[in-house]
Amino acid sequence: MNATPREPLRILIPLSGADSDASALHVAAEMAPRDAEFFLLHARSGPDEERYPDFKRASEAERFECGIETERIFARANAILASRGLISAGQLVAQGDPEEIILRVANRMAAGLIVLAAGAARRVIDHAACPVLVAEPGVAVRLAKV
Amino acid sequence: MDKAVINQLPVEKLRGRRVFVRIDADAEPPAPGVLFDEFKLRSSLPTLEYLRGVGARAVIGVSLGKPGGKVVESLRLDPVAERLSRMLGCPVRKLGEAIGRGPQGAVAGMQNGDLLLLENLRFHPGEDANDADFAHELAELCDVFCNDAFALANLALASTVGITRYVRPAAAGLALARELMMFEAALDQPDPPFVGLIAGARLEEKLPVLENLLPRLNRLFIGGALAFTFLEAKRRDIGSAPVDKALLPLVKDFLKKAEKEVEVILPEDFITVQVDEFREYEKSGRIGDPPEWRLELENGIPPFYLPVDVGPATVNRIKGLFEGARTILWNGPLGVWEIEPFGAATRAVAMLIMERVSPRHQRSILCGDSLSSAIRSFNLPVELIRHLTTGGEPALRLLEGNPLPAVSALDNELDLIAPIETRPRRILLPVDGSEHSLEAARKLGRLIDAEDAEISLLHVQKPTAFAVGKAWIDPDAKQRREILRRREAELVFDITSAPLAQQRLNVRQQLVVEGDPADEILRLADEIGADLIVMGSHGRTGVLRVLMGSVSRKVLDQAKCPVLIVRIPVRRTVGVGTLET
Repeated sequence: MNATPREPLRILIPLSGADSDASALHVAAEMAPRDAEFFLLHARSGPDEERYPDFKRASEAERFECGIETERIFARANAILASRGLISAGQLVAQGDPEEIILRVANRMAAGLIVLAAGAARRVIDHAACPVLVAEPGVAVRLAKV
Repeated sequence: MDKAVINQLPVEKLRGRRVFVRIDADAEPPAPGVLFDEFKLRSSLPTLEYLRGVGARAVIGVSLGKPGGKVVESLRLDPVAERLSRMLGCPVRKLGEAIGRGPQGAVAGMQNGDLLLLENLRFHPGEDANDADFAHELAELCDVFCNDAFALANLALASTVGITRYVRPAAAGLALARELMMFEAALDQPDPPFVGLIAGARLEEKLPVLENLLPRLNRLFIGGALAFTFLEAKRRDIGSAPVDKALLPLVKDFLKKAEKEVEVILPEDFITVQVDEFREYEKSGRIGDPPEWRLELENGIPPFYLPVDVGPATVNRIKGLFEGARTILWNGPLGVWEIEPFGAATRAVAMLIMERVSPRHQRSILCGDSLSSAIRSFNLPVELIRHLTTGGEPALRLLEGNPLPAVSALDNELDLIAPIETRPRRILLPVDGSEHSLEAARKLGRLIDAEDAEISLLHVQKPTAFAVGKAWIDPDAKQRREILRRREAELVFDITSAPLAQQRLNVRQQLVVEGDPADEILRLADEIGADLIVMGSHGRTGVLRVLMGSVSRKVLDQAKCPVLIVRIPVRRTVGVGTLET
């Protein structure tokens, strides 16, 4: 029997939409092993979709606006990964307390690593079940080729 | 992939340069009051965002609908410009023409990072005809060509093929590159077991695909309308299901050949409707309730009954096929998904694929315009599918093993890439011999690309005032203490080096210093110009959670480089439960 191939490392990169996203993305792209897979997560703040499913159905127009904002965040993130010859393996959106969502999603998808910008999501750093790579502020400027 | 991708070009070849980006909008313009279906448009956002980021001047070319080579007011691109501008969060100026003085003037006035949208390219007959003059006029507007329209890659258009005769470099956009990489991964080196789900209609187009995939596949399911001819070849009673008589001999040949290599699985049960009722319903424009359906086994469909979807036993069979699969390729819907109840199987299989995001799976590729529309109409989180292709026709060409004209026209990667100078990465790994720091050493190679990195091990020992005082009185004691310290350090280095050596990682130096651990770590990180500090830290231990240690915290707060925090997994948590304590 053949040896089972090594599972790719699943890296979860939470995005807030702030400029610090770029730091996390650049560091993830720079440091990740070659077979890693990048999953982007945009955790929107608002009532938790899973805990309060009734809140979930915002109006069509509202969801559409949120969708545009999310697309923009993902597009920027993908452009940064792309600038380093990488592509994201998946993009996830969820609404709720961002730190809680990050921990929840990381657990659920069995993330091997979470990459965060410094100062963001202290609770994630403290409570994550997997290793956390923390990008220092300003790293984007140092690492960015663009 | 051997084709050049836009992000491989040196940035100085893009900054301030005019880049013609060909992207695709959906075939039909939005009906009034209907939201723009922007699936294809969205796929090109990363490319546009990238070009904006590097300070290129992007001239965007789009075609919309089928105006037939003349201006059609309702197919003007103003809504496309508006959508793009909102999605990118920056203005996208739209011109009233695609070529000529107007666009030339507008392009000349562009600033770095500007985006400009030309009018619908199909207003000119030269676009579809791949006319050299039209291509030349487009080429006049740019210095670099970037094709990001996978859905059109099977066609030779003036804006995708003709233009490359006049503009160099010609590179793939990020969305196109992604599509090509996905198919390449499935076709060239599929990670086995490789499961193929080939369904939908148009047997004459799918047979070459099946032939080409056969030697690569480990499991094959044939469904949709395709399956009828296969079932007929196996002499099953399939009621009024349409059979392609002309292709029947070919199908029989294929089955004979295929069964030597893989098990060909056909649907086991069907959702069927009375054929007259169904025709009536179709004729009425699908108004009102769809016809009554009943579940039938594949070999017992009564005459005058038409299969419109596969049944639950078949979905279950497909679920079994997915077991352990590492590559899945799915083309074509399993039923008449446009009528709500008959999309059930397609939806169920799509959900099976989405669930495979967790816990473990490799790659799924879903292709076909019809399947893509079906999946998106179900309102499922399509982001979880890797990969939902934007182009049905080009995907078929690739699956048949044929090249795409618009891709062949692009530059090869090797012609363009400038070598990048890099120095080996420097990693600082503070060690204290604890389980935490050992765990960091054990996991390092898995978490970080550390293959060529130079690792510095640092052991910080606490100075003890008492010992210092004693040493002043008794030189022997000082020496003894030194020996003890050195032994301790050696022991720590030895136990840390073992897992590093196992991962074939390269330890460059081992340093011992005295002082406050956090201060010393930060100081040395600066001194060696560390690119990364790796800290073993306390994990969560049941109810009594010990949060991150104070050393890690201080390092994290003050480090001038990224910090990797590694913990010992206390227990593998599955699901959400443990997080919500």
